[in-house]
Amino acid sequence: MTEKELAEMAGFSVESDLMRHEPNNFGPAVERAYEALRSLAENDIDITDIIPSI
Amino acid sequence: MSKPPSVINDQAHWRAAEHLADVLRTCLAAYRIEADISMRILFDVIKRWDKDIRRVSEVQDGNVSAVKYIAYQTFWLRKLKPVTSAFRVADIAAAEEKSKLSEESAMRWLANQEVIDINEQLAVAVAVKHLLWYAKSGDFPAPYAAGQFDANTQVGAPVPFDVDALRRYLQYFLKYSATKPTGAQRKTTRDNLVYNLRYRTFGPHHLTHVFEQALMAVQSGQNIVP
Repeated sequence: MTEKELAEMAGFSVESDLMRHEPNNFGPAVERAYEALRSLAENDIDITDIIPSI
Repeated sequence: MSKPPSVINDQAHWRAAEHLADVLRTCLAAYRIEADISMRILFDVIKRWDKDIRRVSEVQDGNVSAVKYIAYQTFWLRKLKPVTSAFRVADIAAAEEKSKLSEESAMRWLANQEVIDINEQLAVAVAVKHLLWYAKSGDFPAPYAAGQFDANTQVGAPVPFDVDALRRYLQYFLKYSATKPTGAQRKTTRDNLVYNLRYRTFGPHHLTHVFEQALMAVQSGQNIVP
């Protein structure tokens, strides 16, 4: 299922290009929190030396 | 004043929920666990988190420790529980073997292996990843005493936050378990944190305190890891 289909299933009517927008009106500190989340999604930090197993 | 909710914010929140889903999937893969992730609940996690961090940011004029953002996200993950039906891949394979003898008993056995505290476990893991991300990104400065900085000699200048020291501290801190008088080991600090996240009243402020202790331990510059 595509990102757009998932969003529409959740009740949004969106254009796929708009889905690429990141929050941009929350101020620098909050934007930093979103940046951290996006960055971690794209470039994982391995923590298996800290948490070896679940 | 915060801006009212808008369609573009919903789209941004959905996008952020997808980022969080990616982080959770990476964790599940690393720990060899299969589970279902609800995008609708993750969307709710992001919206609640966003509401909190904007409120905190406004109250503190945008001068907020990243630790609070991490703590609020951890809190909403453990509160709303977007991950369900979590099973270790090894247990699924074992159940398949057992089902050759009796499918009913194999399924009953597998049902008992479900990782029921998966949301709390993942919340801690995601928090640790965030702590390291902010540390690597230079968001946690090492403190130095005000007035002691000498521009000519550079004596007293802040030094970069020691990311490796934070990693070492988290390794030690989360794996630590005290020894009982009988010689047996108590649960680890991580076990205790997961238990409290699941069964006790444990809000964002408690989590902020726990995470700040880790940062302060590193910032103190003392070699606290034996």
